[in-house]
Amino acid sequence: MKDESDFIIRNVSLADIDIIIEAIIAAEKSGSDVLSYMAVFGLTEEQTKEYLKEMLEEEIDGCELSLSSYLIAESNNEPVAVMAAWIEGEEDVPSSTIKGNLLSYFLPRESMIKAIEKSPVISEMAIEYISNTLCIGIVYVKENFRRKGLVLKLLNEHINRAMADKKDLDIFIQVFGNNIAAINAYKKLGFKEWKVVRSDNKQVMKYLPSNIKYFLKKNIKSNS
Amino acid sequence: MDRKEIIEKLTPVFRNILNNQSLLITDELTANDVDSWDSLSHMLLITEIENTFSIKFKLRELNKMKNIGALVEIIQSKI
Repeated sequence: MKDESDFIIRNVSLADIDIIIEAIIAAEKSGSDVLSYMAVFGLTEEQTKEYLKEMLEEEIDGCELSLSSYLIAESNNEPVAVMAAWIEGEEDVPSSTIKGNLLSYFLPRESMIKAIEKSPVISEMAIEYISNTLCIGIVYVKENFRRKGLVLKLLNEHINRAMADKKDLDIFIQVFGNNIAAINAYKKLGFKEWKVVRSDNKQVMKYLPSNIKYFLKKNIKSNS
Repeated sequence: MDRKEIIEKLTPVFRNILNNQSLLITDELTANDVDSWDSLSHMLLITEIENTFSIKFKLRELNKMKNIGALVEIIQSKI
């Protein structure tokens, strides 16, 4: 049986795009059947994968659609878990703007038209990240490799890198309310509820996995 | 088209997409200043701005837009 020490953590490359796409889709679904890219933009899952590939290949930094945000846990040369994290607004542009730029550039016009009427409903659930904090965007572990401490290992590596030039770091993660297991797991890792967004609009459940979103926070201080 | 005219054309676009009819469009305004300015509304803003001015932004131009002032400059360079 493998333990933590059997896994290596490394940066990603273009060769890892398939597992990154798998991770983004799994995170978007958050354990539900609702994929917002399909529900909001009218795309099929295959089209979603194609557009995600094009966006990731641009290698624009600073959001969940940036290859440079990702770390991979690997076992026997096989990628088995990924986590995206970035320092929010490092180049003075919010991650939501960077992601919005990529969406507007790559998605077809018909998708924009489909998204217009849904935008106010989706925006009710939006929580903007806070500048100069470490934002955990996507977390994914392949089913056979769960409960092996990989989330903590990936999180610690992101934190170590972010703390290289900081003495105090706030870390934020957003989790949909239906993902109770993830919320409990992050609380065990020291995250606390910082903000909860709830929508009474029944349309929300058509486009997102839950009408509740938790914004969890953890603070780390350097010992040096 | 001068900066004032561009801001005048941008104002209703931002007010409609961000659902805020009292929003004041200034050079310094960024997504951080408006609660409803998330990734989806940003995507719609860019699309609507392209339609309004009959232009198409390059990805590298989009990534230079740190605030409204930068957006206006890029629009000016394309019309």
